[in-house]
Parts: sequence; structure tokens; C-alpha cells
Amino acid sequence: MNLRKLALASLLTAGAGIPAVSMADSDLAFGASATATVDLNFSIVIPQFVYFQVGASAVPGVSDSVLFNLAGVESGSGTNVADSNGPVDVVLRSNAQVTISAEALAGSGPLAAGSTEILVSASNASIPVPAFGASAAPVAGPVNATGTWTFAYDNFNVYTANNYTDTVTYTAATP
Amino acid sequence: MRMAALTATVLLSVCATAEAQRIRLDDSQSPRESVPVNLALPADAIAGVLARGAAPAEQWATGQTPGVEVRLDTSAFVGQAARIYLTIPATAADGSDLELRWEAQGQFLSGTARPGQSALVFEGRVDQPLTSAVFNFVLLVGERTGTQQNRMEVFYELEPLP
Amino acid sequence: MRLCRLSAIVVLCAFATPAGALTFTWNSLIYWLPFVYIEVGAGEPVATVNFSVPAGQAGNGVAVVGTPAVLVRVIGRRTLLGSSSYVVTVDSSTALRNARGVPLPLSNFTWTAAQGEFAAGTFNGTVNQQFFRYTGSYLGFEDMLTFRYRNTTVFPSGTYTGQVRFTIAQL
Repeated sequence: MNLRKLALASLLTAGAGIPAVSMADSDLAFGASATATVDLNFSIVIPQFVYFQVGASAVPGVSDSVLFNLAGVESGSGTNVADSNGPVDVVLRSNAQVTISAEALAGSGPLAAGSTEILVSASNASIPVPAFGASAAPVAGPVNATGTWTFAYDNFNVYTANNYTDTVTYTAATP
Repeated sequence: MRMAALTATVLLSVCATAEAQRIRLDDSQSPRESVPVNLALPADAIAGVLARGAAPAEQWATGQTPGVEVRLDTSAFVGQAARIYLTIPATAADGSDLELRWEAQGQFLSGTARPGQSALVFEGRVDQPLTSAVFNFVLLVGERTGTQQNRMEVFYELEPLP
Repeated sequence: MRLCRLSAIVVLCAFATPAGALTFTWNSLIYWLPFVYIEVGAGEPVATVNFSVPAGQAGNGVAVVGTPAVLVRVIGRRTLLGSSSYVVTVDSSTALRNARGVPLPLSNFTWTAAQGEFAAGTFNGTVNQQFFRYTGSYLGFEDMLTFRYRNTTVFPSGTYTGQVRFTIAQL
């Protein structure tokens, strides 16, 4: 404050003319129609975030299940079997680019690595479903989308009667 | 010529006793007649400018001009006891906020005067045909005057004493 | 005797034309002209208000307070005896932008004044939004402004920067 006062003192002496003097964060302008202006900077940091939900529950750690029941259906007949639990709800929110990836299958029989028996389609292109062991094409941010992934069993090959299970983790990642 | 001088002397004496006449002194032999003054506001007046709600009645600017040498032609009064005054003529503008202050060397007195006023600066015997003194002047100018005029004359008058 | 006196006056006039007069001259101070003064922020070249949206809260509607609070001071003076009206306006027409040029309009920011000297408001994205207006003779007003980011919209991540401009004018 003192520095500014002294600087003004030197300006307010005779013969200094009629300047519009700007001293960065203050401005003093003489004359009946003069205006004085000062700028103010704004800087805001918005961090990346991603919220990804696969399944009906938003509670972390609680997984949905996809169930194919071939009771009454011949294995390997080619007749597709729908997911008994219905389409899987998916939610994706992010302010950055998101890449969704899926683990590879690691079970046995129809759920063995490399199996092509599980079919899946996404209802909303903003939440693409990747193939197992692969990544979907990146989704440009920001994104705030809900949709469903619908799984089906292709029933192409013959497998021994059994209960086959596996858990696949889907990950949404930002750069 | 002599008769004229006698007449002049007689006339002067008559007038001197009739009224205490002040005679304006010639100061044209002074080194400089024109004194430019750089006015400035004091820092606390500027603080008043920047303070919220400050509405000063007057803002006086001051300017200092030290070392102004004045040489007065007192050749007609050598040996005379006299007073010398510094006089500021009244101005057409409102000079109520115009003031001159000074300090002077030697026998000359310091003082202060406003337009329309005289101040005594010397009292004693004139012993030089050219009486000189150096003044350190300070000029104070208020806004009302400062927006109406920017010059002020000062002259010196001698009052002979009996 | 009368003739003598008349002559005396004439003679004295002839004597009393001494040359010279000490003359002081000065410039009129610009200070004595009307002026307007505005100050935003203190002690640094162009103050900056910083906002940092906490992780996980982008767009959740919880306002984010900017720091620091900023001093705004305005003074208008016409002449010693004159009163006038003054208006302070703000230009928020240029959106903030991040490094990829994504705009973040200033309508997402609000302000409040600590002492209530200036009415609270929201930037409206115009060139001359009225911020404060008063009529008076040589008055000054000041208060600390706190800015808030409304955080009601999800914007792409990044650091967004830009400026608003405050102007005071005598009407």
C-alpha cells in the first residue's frame, strides 16, 4: 500500500500531463470522461474423474451375474440362449477420455480363454463393451451416459454338462 | 535642473510627512525574475484521496523554491532608516487559498503573506545602494486558486522612517 | 500649495515605475481535475483468483470457493465542490479456456462482498454488466470479494484460465 501511495505522489505533481496510469492492479484516470480499468485473472483446475458402474448395484464390490441356463436346450445346436438375468445396466461418467477394457476369459469349457461363445452388444455407443481381453475404442469426454450391455450365449460348440463360471472385470480408464 | 531637483525633494518631503508613503523598489537587477514552482501533494493528502469517505475541505499543494536572490535598488535611500515590505497584490481570482512563506538570510525576516497583504521583511538602516537577500520560498496553493490562476507577482516596498 | 500637490503626484508617478517584479508560476495539478480510481487485488501485478475442484466432485453442484478474496476499491472525485454519479461495470464476455481451447463461461462464477458494500452477483457473460453504482461527492467504497465456482456442470478436465475486467466511469 505504501509503495502505491508513493508512486501516486510522483504522478500527482505538476506537469505530469493527463495520463491514464495503470499500475497492474489499480488504475487512476483524470479528466471528466475518463475511465479506469483493472483486470482480474481467474484460474480453475478441474481434475479428471471417472465413474463406471457395471450392473444394477452402485455399491463397490457387489457384482451382477450373467446366467445362461441351457436346460432343455441342446448343447452345440446353434440356438442362442439369452441371459436369464436380463440386460446389464451400465453407467459411465467422466470429464476425460475413457477407455473401457475387459479381462480375458479364464474359465473352462465355454468360458475358457479364447472362447467365442459369449456374445455381447451395447445399447449406448457412449458405453461400448469391449471384447474379452481387449479394449473398446476410446470414448471422448465429457461423458455422462447410462445404458445396458446385453449378453447372449452363442451355443456353437458342444460342451459336457456342467456349471461353468468365471468372473470378468471391466475397467474404465482415463489417460 | 537644480531647481527641479529642489522642487522634487521638497515635494517628496511634503508627501512623506503627509502620509507614510511606501515606495515600490526596483528589483530588476535580481538574477531571476521568473520563479517556476513544481507543486506536489503531500503523501498523506494522497492517502486522503485514496481513503474511503475522505472528502477534504482543502487540498493544499506545496512547492519549494529555495535560493531566490532578490536585489533591490535602494540607491535613493542609502543612509535612510526604513522598513522594507514584501507585498503581494490582490488577485482577481479568489486567492484565499494562496499563500507564500519564506525564510531569508541575514537581516531579512522570515514571514508569510497572501494576496492583498504585505509583510515586513527588513527594518533598519539602508547602507547599500543595492540591497540583496536570498529567500527560501514555499508556495502553497489550494484547489480553488489552482484551477483559476497559475501565476502570482510579488514586489517590495520601502517605507522611510523619520 | 494645491498646485504643488498635483505636481507631487505627477512627479511621484514618474519616479514610481520601478522595473521588475518577482513572478511565481506553477502548473495546475492534474489532481485538481476530476478523476476515477479503481483497485482490484492488492500488491501484485494482476491478481489471480484460484479454484481447485476436489477430486471426485466435478459437476456435483457443491460450490468451490476461490482464493484469495480480492479487495475491490473505487473512488470517484469530480472537483472540490462537485458531486457526480459513477458506475462500475465488469466485462465477463470472454470465457475461460483450457489448453485444448475448451471454453468455461464465467457465468459459472458468483461473487459476494464481505461487508455487503457491493451487492452479490453472478457474471452474465456481457461486456458491461453493472457491478456497482453510486452518486456522491468524493467518496470511496471498498470491500473484499469472494468468488465461487458453481460446479453445476461437468467440464472436461484441465486448467482453465482467463480474465474479467472491472471499469469505473463517471456518468
